[in-house]
Amino acid sequence: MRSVLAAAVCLLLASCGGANRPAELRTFDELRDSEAGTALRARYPKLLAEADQHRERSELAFRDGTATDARHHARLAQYTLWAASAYSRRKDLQLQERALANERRIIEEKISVIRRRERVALEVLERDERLRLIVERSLVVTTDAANVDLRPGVSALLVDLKDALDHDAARLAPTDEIETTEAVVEALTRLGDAQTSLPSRAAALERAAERAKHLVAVVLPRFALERARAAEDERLTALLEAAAAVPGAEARLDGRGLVITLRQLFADGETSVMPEKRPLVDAVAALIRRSPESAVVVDVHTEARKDALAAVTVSASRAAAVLAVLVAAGVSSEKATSNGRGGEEPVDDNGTRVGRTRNRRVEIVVLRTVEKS
Amino acid sequence: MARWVASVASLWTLVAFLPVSTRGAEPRDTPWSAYLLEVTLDARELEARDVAGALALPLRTLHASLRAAELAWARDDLSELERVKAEISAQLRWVEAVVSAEEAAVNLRRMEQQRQQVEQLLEEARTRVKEVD
Repeated sequence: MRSVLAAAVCLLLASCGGANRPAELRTFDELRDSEAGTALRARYPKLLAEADQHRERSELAFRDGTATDARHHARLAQYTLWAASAYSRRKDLQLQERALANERRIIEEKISVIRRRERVALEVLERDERLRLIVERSLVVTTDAANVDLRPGVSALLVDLKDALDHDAARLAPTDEIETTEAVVEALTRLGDAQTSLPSRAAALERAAERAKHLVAVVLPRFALERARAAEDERLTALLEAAAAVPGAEARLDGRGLVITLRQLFADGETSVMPEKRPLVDAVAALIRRSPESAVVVDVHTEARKDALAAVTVSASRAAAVLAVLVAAGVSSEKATSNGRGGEEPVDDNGTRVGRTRNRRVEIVVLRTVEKS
Repeated sequence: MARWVASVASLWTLVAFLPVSTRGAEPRDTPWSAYLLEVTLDARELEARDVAGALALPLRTLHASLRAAELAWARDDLSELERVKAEISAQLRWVEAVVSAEEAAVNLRRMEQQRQQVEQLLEEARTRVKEVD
């Protein structure tokens, strides 16, 4: 009974002496009983239970009159509640941060989509530019007169490419078609260029070949012939000078070659070379041997006679005699021939004695090896 | 902020190793002196780093408790020392909660900046794609 009375007195003192009640309890109660306090309890029930426990002890200590313990537990209750409040603030901030992170992720995804769209747009621009170039080059190929054969192929390629581009699904990635078409058009262009240039190249080659043929067939032989003629002229001229220096011999050049004329080698009616004339013939033979490649013809002429046949016979015998002397002097018999010309080729008047003497003559012709032009 | 958390962690470590009773021990040989010194130093470090002032109240309260602990220590009042110890423990948890909330606030500000940056990038990307289109 006494204890009950003491408790009642304590309660009465506590209710009347509010100034002694720990101030921390008042602030604790205000926070705990607020809307925020309710939220804290829902979020951190253990902490709030701990705080409530401290508050209860504080209340009990206050009722027991132990102010120190009352304040002590009131402080613990307050510190616990404030810690819960700080944890709750941390939780709110973390939730906000998480929400912001979500927003950032969504924005980044939007950026990714936009960048992808930008990249695709740029690819389309680039591809359209390439396509424009393809069409331009294709037009060049197809409009070139030399590329008539290529027109159907290029046109078909362009139609295929247009189909690929018109198709929505393929529009974003027709790279393969474009690259293939580019490669084909490139090849066709080169082929067109080759076709265009080939005829002119062939004509040029043909002209060059014609020039070469003409050079080989006409010009070069002509040059060679002229060079050979010049060389022969030089050689015959040297022989002419040498022959002119031989006493009793006359020499000249004509179309046949070097003509050395000898006279009075035979006595009247004879067909053998007079012995005293043999040195003259030998000297001529020595000249002939200086041109071993040349053929030699011995033509013997008489004055005109009534009996032409007899004249030919005599002249032929005399020509053979001269030829024999020449051969005996070293002239090749294979290259030497003799002719009896009779009196048909006079060089002077047969009506006079001087003329008849001039017409009786031996002409030793060193023939040209190269025909005179 | 990481150093704040480290400081708070060291405080908690000290609290965990507090002796239940120091009766009969020479004051300067007990862990109490080292404990009070460490808590005081860490509290000062936290105070120096608390630019925003969020820790002002908890730290002021903590300093008061530390002074009370010194007085109780001087009086060799172990029961008071035990009470103060319990209060310091509660205050340290409060400090830790505030520090972690401040850390969350810093993270939130950083995230807000990042969101603004990506928003700006989004605007730039939209402008570019309009130009390309």
